[in-house]
Amino acid sequence: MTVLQLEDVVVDYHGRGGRVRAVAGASIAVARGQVVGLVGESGCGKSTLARAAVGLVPASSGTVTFEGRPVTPLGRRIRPAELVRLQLVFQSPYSSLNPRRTVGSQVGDGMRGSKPSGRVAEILEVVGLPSNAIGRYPHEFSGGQRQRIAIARALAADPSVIVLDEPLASLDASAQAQLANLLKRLARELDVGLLLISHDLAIVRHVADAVSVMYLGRMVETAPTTELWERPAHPYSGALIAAVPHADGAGTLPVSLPGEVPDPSHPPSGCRFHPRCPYAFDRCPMEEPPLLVLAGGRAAACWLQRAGEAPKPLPNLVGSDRVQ
Amino acid sequence: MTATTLEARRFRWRVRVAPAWRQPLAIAGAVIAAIWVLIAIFAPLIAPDNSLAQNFPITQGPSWHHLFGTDELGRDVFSRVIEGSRVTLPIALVLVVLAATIGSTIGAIAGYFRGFADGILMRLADLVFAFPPIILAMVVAAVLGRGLFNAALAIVVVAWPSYARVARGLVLSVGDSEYVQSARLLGASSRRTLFRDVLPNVAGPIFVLATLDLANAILLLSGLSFLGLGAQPPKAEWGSMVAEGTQYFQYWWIGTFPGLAIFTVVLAFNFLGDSLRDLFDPRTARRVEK
Amino acid sequence: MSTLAVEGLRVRLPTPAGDVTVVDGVDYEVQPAEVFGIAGESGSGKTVSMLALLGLLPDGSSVEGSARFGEDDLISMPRRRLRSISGRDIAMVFQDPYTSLHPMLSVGKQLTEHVRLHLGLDRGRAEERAVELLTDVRIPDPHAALRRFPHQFSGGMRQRIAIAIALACRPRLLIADEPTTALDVTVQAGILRLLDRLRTEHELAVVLITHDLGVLSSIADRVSIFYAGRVVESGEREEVLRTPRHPYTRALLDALPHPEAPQEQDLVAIKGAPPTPGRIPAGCAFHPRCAYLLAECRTKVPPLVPAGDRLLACPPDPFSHL
Repeated sequence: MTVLQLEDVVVDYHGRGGRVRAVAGASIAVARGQVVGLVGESGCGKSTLARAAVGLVPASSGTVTFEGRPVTPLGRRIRPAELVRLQLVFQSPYSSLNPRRTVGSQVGDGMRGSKPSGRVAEILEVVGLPSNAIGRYPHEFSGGQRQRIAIARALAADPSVIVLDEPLASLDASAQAQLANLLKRLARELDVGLLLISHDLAIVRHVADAVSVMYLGRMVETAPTTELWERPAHPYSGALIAAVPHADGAGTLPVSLPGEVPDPSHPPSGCRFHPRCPYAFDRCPMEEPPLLVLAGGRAAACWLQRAGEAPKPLPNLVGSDRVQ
Repeated sequence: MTATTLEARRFRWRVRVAPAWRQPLAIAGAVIAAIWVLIAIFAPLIAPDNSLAQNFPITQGPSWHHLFGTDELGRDVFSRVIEGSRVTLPIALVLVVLAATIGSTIGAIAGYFRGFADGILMRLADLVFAFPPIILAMVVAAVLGRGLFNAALAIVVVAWPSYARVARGLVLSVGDSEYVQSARLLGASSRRTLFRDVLPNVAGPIFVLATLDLANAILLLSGLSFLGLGAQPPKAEWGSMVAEGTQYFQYWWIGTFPGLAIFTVVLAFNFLGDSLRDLFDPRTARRVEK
Repeated sequence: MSTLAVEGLRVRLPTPAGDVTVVDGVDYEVQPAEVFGIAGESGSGKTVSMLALLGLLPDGSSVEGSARFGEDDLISMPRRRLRSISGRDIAMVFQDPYTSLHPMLSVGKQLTEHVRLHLGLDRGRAEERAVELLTDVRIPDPHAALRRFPHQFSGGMRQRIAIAIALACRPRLLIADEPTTALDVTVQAGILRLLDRLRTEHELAVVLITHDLGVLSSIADRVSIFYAGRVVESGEREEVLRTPRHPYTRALLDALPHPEAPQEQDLVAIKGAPPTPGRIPAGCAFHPRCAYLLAECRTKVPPLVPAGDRLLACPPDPFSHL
């Protein structure tokens, strides 16, 4: 049952040089107990989308719906009680906790009415922190632990969906592993839906049930995780996967993608990815492909695919002449 | 480079401080300031003579009876210098507290409400900033009339914008911080986050600014009195005593000792304020480690 | 003859709490045209050991040991000679492409200044060399790029420019400290391929420092694993990463999501946290977190000794059967 739904969301920023379209029409859905990964590289708009999903940033057009209700952007007034069950965990565990307040006090922020310390201790236990953390301050904890405090704070509000913006980015390998395991558990045991934004495909692959790939403000592919990995339907997804280095000792260089991410205020004509796409053909610069719905719960915005049909595997790229 | 950075330390009450012997200036500042405070408190007990009594031989140089000599009206300079601390220090303290309170409130309002209120209030602050402090203080003091009380008021008018600017900046940056955003997402009202999250982070830097500002206030106060706009005779205020001294240059002790008093107090509070600022803002601190 | 041979490197840094040993006896050798990978988490001493070689440590630091570079010893060399070598014969590329280039000078200026300073070329020749370098690192339209400023380039491009500057004087050794950590994965792939090509074309020895074992696995020929200021395992990349024998190496690899592992399986985290310099456990620094420890691990620092196809600092050697 879909709890969080974003449809054709557009987010514009008004900067000094005029309007920049950070998100140019993206859709994504999260159900209870489901982990949805959102991957993409810098400038693709995934962080902006995350903020729009919880109302920190207003959507210029499109709809954001949570439990059937529209997500109103956060303004001066108090956030409506129904929306409190939609939470966000920020990327940096160092700036998302108030250094001057105790852990217990901040975790208690999410609770209504009285905040019995027993309940706070319970939540801390769920994320694997000792109950004596209640009276301590954030700086006494490591990055990984702080991130868990932030998650505990979100959990205290009894959320049905938590959006996590690159929660693993500033952590070392071991802390990442612990946190990834925790997130999986939360989804399974507490039936919380997670929207996990990350640039680290390997971790997302391990944690998410479904993955959406974003490029230059648009969603280019959506698929169940294992299927995306085994048979990507969009060339950019294929490029991302091929670019991940593996620690297997084999000495294989990852495949690189030629070109650069274009300026979001001047996207290429037609398909946004076409200048860098090894498979581009004449239709690609002319018409921008919508997110075509394919068989098997998949979707891809690529003219190589046909709506309603099974996803066609990407043609094999022989040799590295095409790449730098 | 994390091996050498002993954890990022930001706004925290308990901060690792370099041991005392590595901060001679801070110690010196604290000691001198403490001495002056004690002098001010125990002035009647320390001063050998009444600061107003004019019954001594006039213009006597420093001697055992009169450590700082006597002035042109036969008053004991030493006693007057001590008495002066009772005038300058409390007034400077009160006016700094007043300026800090008024300034921070104005700045916080500007930062919290933004928009129109912010524009008006900050333009007001800019207006004050446009003038050199002593000139503006002189003008205001002159308009209000002579006297220590009016001089203090004039200085408050000149001093509040610095606090306003700092407070506004902090309210804006903390208000945009992720932990405030988190609190709002969890259902806290803007007002609640103002008091719980924002203000505690504002208090520290404002306090540091006030400590540094104390030195400025003392200087301005003495300056106004020197110009005849502050303390009026026969009040024993250091600035006006220095003014008297300029008229009797050959009796150097009349002006020099009050001047030294101003000098040492201002220096002490400057050192103190500097080290407090280093405590709270690691970026300006002289680092021992990398 | 190895390009760089480090022996017994020990570095102590001054802190308010007293001097702290950050690098505690490190040995390794780097051959020409070889990529030598140094892996470790934060606090392992991997960066500080490099800074020590280049004389970039803060005042009050002390360095012991030797680092033979050609006929010189970098550690005991007089500062002036070290300054002329670094930048010319040894070059360094840092992690952050945003702060390692001068923001106010054009790219061309930064390249030509460097070349003229170290090689004494005149302006014309220097500019030719600059274009050559930018072409080598595959910056599109190098002539126009000369006149542009760093902020006009993306992170990946800036890193390429930094590499171009590093290669300007044809160094024998390139030290790259987390060169791709701040970059997107596709950009990282491009930089790794670039480094691979350059080291072959220019016979360049490369020391690549990173916490990312995947990066090391794709480009390094030999690797050294650092923990708490010491080397715990060192050898050919394939041997060490495919069949690790030190518990720490093993744990690091296990913590990574494995492409073939079933999704239900949890990632294996290493219990505890890496020690901070100055609070290193006695004996083997890893022992509090090690599942295979013996009594001697608590008291004796295990020496790095040859163990078959590699060097290993672990007497129990629990994975020697692999």
